[in-house]
Amino acid sequence: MKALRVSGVTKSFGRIKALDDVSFDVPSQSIFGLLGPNGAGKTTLFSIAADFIKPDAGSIEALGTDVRQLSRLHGRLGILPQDALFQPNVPIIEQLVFFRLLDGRTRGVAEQEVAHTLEKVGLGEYHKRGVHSLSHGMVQRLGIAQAFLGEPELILLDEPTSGLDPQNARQIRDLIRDLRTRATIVISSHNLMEVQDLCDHVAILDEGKLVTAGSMADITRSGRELDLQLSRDLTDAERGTIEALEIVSGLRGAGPGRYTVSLNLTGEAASSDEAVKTVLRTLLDMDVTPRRVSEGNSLEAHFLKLTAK
Amino acid sequence: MSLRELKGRHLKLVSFYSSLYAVRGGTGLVFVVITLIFGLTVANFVIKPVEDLQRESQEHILEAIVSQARPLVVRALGGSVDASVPSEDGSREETERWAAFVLDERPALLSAVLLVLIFGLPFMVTMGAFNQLSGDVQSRGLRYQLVHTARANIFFGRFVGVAVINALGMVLLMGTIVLYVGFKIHVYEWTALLGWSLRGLLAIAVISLPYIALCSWISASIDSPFASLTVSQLVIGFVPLFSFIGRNTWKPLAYVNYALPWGIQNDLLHPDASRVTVGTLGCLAYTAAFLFLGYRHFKKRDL
Repeated sequence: MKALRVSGVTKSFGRIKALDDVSFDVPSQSIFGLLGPNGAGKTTLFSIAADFIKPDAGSIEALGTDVRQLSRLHGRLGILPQDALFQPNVPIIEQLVFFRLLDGRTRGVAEQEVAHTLEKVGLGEYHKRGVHSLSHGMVQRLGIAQAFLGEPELILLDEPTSGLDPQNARQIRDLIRDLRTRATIVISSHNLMEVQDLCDHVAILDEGKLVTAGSMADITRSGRELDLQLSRDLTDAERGTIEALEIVSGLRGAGPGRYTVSLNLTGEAASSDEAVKTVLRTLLDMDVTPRRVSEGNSLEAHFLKLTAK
Repeated sequence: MSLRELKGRHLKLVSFYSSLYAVRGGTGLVFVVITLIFGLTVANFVIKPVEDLQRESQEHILEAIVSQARPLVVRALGGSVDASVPSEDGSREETERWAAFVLDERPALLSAVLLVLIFGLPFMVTMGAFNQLSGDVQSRGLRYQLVHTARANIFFGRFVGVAVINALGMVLLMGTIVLYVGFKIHVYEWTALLGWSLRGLLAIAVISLPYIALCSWISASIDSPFASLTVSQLVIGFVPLFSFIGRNTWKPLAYVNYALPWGIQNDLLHPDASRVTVGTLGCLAYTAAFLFLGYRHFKKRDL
């Protein structure tokens, strides 16, 4: 089953088309990255997925239920909305307990769950404080705590680590990894390294349109390139040998001892592996030692290529 | 999304927590304080002359109270249904009968306070009801609740929360006034005082509902709390003002008063049970209509 199914979603704000016929699926039990430059429509898509705003056309199904019937998903869906404020003068524990009471918990159970979740995000000792006395990073962690509360099966996190220091950001990433066995998590982020590190599937939006979607492996491999750091520069003859290989469509230098080999693949993973082996074997036969090999583009390179103006 | 999603438990939780947040956030406290200041100022304005009279002479004090309160009461009742209908002789007699009931058969002092309170009530209620939704829509704070409960529960729960806070504020106010009149003025029997104040309290509670519902509608439509407050006050004030000014040039404009409960709200203190029933049902009908319009907008809008 798909945890989230986005079908032909279109949304305009006045003359601005925030989303234009966007469709993709989020597999269950995956960590899914939603990427795009500012104004690409990520937050709008999150907002429609949580029924905060209504699409002009199209629909979104979460856990098999149309999100327009959001009440059927109460307790199964967690979300960290962007720029949503908590009540400033109410102790944070009370605010989170209120949400759990709405989910049908008794006060005692709700208080226990909230205390446990606040501990997890490092806010245990601040539970009686109002939001006005917390730092930006703490408020961000509070938002994450409310999204993780209970056992939601689908969690939407809009820029979860923005504004967090590296230590806290890492803590949140670890929490997300821990949750992957029991929940599907959709993350929007500008931090491409983070997304590449965390996510196994990704979709890229640009100017409201879906540019690409698929598994992280497919997306980063789709450049069909091999980045090599070699023990020495290649001679012209050696370059010629590599370029003469049937599975190589091009070779270019990228600095001292660094080369990028464009592969000519049919698309199957097996042939990709075979191509890599062939290139490496040829290099070794020429007494050239590959010191570092990476297949495909980095997500960042791919993202920049797809969203370049 | 429909009214079928209303859950009693969620309504209770939303109304309780929204009231709690309002009190902690300050707007709820400000409302209670404004209610008390306004109510006690009105009471002082009505009771002070009586206290002065009492110091001079205890004799004929009841007659003095009635004669002092009569112009105020008649004017307040004259501003109601009968005066807004194109002039007919019967209406004036009807107003006199009504005035005699609240002045002679009921504690006149309390009647005067109640009628002035009912006139100021719509403006006062707005102070507690203008920010039912607009502030949280503007700050997007509602988004946290939306994944836990339906929009219907948020909309109606907050309405109930404001209605309860409003009723508690009025109980506090009326309690203070009744205790003061009972212990300080000593001219009315406690049973008469308590009975009439209870009726007045119920009337105030019922009359408040359509204005709170109107604020629900406005607050669900306007994201800025300040704009919501301003529009609420302007709408509530504009209706009787336009009706009052308009009827001098074209009499049917008097009916503009019925755009809001202004035209029927005094009926809740009428001597005839039928008028009280119609007035009560009218207020509840206005409430239902404003809530329907507000919810229809709220359930579809972007949050």
